[in-house]
Amino acid sequence: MSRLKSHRIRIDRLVFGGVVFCAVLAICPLIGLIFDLFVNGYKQIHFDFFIQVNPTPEEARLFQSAGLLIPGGILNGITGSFSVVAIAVLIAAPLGILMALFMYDDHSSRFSNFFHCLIVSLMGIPAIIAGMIVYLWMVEPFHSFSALAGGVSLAIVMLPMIIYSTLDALNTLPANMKEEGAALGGTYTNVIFLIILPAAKDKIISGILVAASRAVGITSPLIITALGSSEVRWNVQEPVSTVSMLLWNFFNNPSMVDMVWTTALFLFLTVIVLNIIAKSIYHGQIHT
Amino acid sequence: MDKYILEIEKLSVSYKQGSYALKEISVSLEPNKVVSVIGLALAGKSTLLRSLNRLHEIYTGIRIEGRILFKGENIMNQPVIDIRKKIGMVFQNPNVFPNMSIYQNVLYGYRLNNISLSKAENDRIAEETLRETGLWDDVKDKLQSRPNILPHSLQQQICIARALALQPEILLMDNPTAQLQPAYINVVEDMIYRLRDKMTVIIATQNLSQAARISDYTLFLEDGELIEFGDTSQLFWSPADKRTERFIMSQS
Repeated sequence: MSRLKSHRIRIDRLVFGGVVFCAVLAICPLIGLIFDLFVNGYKQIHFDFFIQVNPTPEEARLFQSAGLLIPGGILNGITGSFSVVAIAVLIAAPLGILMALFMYDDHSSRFSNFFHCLIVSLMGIPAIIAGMIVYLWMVEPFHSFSALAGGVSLAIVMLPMIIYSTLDALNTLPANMKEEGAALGGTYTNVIFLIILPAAKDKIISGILVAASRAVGITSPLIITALGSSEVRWNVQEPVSTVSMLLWNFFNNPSMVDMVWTTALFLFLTVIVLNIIAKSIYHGQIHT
Repeated sequence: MDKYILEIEKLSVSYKQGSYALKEISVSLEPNKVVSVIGLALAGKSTLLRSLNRLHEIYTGIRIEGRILFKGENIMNQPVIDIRKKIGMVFQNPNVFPNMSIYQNVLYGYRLNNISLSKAENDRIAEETLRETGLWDDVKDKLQSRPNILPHSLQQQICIARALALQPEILLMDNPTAQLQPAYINVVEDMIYRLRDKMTVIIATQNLSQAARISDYTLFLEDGELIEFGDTSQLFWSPADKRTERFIMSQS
């Protein structure tokens, strides 16, 4: 009897050990990634990195062969990322919220089911295809690459994410909150804007931030819509570079390898910070 | 002044084609009375209440036949938001609005109706309704706090206060004490008893002794049909219909 028991305990420990081992194994790449980013990326971190535009390949080669730090920074990328993502949020957030409200109201109709299918497929569309569509819609007709076109392509990628997170946020509300509002004499508009949306506000904003953090890292559609620029530009009708596009440029240039790591570290930290803020808002630790 | 505040004429409601949740209900209610609607679950109690303030209209596919006259006028011919303001409603589950204060919650009916009042008026209405619901002493120091800090039972009273703040002429209460602790049930029942001076209260309840305690008239529904309507003590002690008698016997 006791032998059987000890046998069981041994198997139990073995299984538990296996689970812990696999969990550690799964975390290893993540820890390795963060470690590599910091070890290789810290060298270029200096004040200029954030306030200067990217260096030309010649400058980089010159300074590197002299054994000096590569000059310049990613300011044009930071401003570009900011404007492109801001445009995307301005387009995708209102559309996504309205779409989610429609689906929340009308969740059983055939039309709404059709919408669901459409959004699921939209979620699966590769970002580069969104870029191509916007190229056909905006870049070719107007003969110009622009931050606006880049923003629209990111908006297409963000839209299904925002619809889903908003719908989730609305569905966490008590079922008859809408009835409660209607019973107090509120019109549909008032019930939506004065009760439903304020009650779900934190979770909706958190969902938008998560979508934005995903958009910050997207590169491929921007290459064919926003093109890139080595200047700081605020005019949305002109081409811009984003941080992720600069990363791609640096990567393609052997003399700028050090810049790659630092830019990657910056991008990584930006995404992490956005996600942490989103989480804190979701759990009510930060009030919006 | 009409004799009846509410006249229901051959009201039928169906959620899907061919099956009726309410079948040809006809009844007239006098003002300043408390009316209990009793019956088993799914007998149509909530459906009846929701017909009276046209709450069914926020969903599609619900068919309503017959007429409901509020002070002699068909409620379908009046703006729906006016009807809902005059015929308030309290639900079974308290739904306080979580992102605003207790004070704002109580007065939110006015905000929803785009009615702006002076600060003094707001304060007066908030205090009056909170006193009416017996909540004032519990919350007078926490008016600016969020209502989620209150126990469940007090949240329900906030919801009642919110409905009362609009000074409705009829108050519909859909099983309002089902989720409350016994001590609070008494508070709410006392309040309903007092409310008859100001308004008509129609309360759907599964608690027969509650119906017997607080109501002047009782309406018994079975499978969507109105079986009996009459004076509460008469309905309970000498029901005219066998089905009423059977129901009351089975529940007591």
